[in-house]
Amino acid sequence: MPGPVEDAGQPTAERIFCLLRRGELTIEDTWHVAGMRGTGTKDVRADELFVPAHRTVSFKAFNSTSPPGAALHRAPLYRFARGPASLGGNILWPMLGAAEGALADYVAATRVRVGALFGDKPAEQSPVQLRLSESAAEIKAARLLLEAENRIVAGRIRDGSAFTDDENVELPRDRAFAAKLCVQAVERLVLQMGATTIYDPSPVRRHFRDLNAMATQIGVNWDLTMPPYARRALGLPVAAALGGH
Amino acid sequence: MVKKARPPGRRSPPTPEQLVGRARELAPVLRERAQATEALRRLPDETMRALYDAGFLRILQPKRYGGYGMGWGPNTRVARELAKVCPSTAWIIAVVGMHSTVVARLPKRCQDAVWGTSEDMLISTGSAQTTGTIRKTAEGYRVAGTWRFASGVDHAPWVMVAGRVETEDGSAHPNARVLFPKGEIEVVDTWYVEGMCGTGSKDINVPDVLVPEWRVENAMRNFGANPPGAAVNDDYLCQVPFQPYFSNALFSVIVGSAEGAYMDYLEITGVRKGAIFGNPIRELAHVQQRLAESSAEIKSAGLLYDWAVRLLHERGIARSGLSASDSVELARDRAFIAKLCVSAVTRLVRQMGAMGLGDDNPVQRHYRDQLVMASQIGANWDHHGTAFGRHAFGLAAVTPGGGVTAAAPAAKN
Repeated sequence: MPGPVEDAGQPTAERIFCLLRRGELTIEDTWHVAGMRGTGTKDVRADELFVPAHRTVSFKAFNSTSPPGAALHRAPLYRFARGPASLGGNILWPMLGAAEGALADYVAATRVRVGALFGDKPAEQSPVQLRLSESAAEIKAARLLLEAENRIVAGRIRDGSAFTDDENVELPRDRAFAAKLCVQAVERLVLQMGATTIYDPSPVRRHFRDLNAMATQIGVNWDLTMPPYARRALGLPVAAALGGH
Repeated sequence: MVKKARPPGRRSPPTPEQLVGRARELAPVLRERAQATEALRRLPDETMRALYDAGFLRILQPKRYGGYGMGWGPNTRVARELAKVCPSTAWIIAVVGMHSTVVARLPKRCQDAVWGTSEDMLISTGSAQTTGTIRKTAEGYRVAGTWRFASGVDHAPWVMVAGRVETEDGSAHPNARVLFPKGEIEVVDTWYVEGMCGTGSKDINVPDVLVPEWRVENAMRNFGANPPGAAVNDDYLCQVPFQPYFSNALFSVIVGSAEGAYMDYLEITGVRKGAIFGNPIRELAHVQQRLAESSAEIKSAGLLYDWAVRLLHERGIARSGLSASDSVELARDRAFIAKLCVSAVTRLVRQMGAMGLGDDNPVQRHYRDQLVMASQIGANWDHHGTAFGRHAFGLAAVTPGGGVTAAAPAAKN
């Protein structure tokens, strides 16, 4: 669990992670949400626990190139220089997969769908075909953006070099844009599907709710990730962004 | 063959990186010249000379005629680089320069005639048949009338026209490509347009010429697998079905132009102050949002384009041709690339206020160029989006005439 540290009841600037045994905590089932229900992302409550120092680590040490674990593990993954460019990418792959899954489910469903009232076939209507194409192209663009980003991140991790200032604004921009592409691509499909799909087992709609839930993550927040890129491009100082920079 | 001055590197052809480097070296002067090029409505002679000297017209030219005989990719990379500063100049490389391959797929006699004239060669094509007719008669093919969109025709020693063929008994005949030395045709200056002005895409008028059979080629055979030219040129571009490559070329110019518009916008907006209050425009949050969104769109378009070029090159090397799924996906992506680029540049130019309207504003010129390029059938979203959708839903493809093909191929998605 991450959190700020108080000293004698006064807040300090220090933030730490604590490692706790599940038995020490109370699980509170607050996870009644619009999407990503299966993750079971419930609250945990700690009631005045004493945590020994060896089960804590400061954010500063954790994010450095020599966190405590680097003494035990040789892999570069445990010592690379973190930065805005490296944060938040992990949620994009489930988002992309959900979008690709939604697209496949949509195609399968729409291929055989017959209009409930008039017996028409939506697949034969050009506006429906155009929706599918636009969403498919957006999801592909998102994939190419994430693959390009992954190559950069993997390279930095491998050789231990720091992310450049350009990468620290461009990669977050691309992630937010990829998230936006995924969400709008699936939304375009869902809006075409009609009332018969509003019942719970509809996989496309479940994917859409999952995407909306994942897109609320701060790492893909559009309004926060666009200005740092633009400010740097326009020669303005980049305000302290995410990830302690 | 007439020998002309050979560009440096004739003995050992340049690498793709060297060619791209030459395009970057030329960029400042082409950028300086872009507005004058637009006003001239064709490439200035000195630009044309520079393109020859840099070897850009030799990228697709067969080796046996002094060219580099490269596969797909170096040409689009050079064009994309040039398009950042002058889309019209880039068009002459990407689209007109590609007609080297069209000629390299013709019978050897045509190739000897064209490159025997000069190894510095530009072949212009009147692509749209307006009043033009091609009639098969007992003596040969009689060609007369007008063809539109002959980009670069002022600079081209040889031209082609393409179109339907009429026969005396009304029997069916495949569409033809007809090759002319420039002296047999007239250039009609109709090129008063809103964008891509520098391409000089004027009309070709043919004043009733009897063309010998060897200069007339079946258009389907010319673009199909193993055309006559494959017997003398072993580049894959002379052997595989050519249409997917042909359709891909102009998008290097669309992407490069969008990238150039973005750079020009950045340069102008970085120092621009509001006309009324003198406030720095770059400080405005909504300006920053526009900039970032457009840059992400342009990057996406570039990645999609790179993906397509890579696929075309791989399929070319393998001589495998493209599957139906490849074809509808490539076409969808092309139209989507155009959509992204137009959207990105439109967002930027609309932010520039009334000062963005000027002829001397490079973002405005790129914007008009984008709109003109995006009006190409190959960039038409409704057309290619529908085709992909039908394929994915397992429906039969609709042919250009409105008919439906018999079998629907299996969908990929």
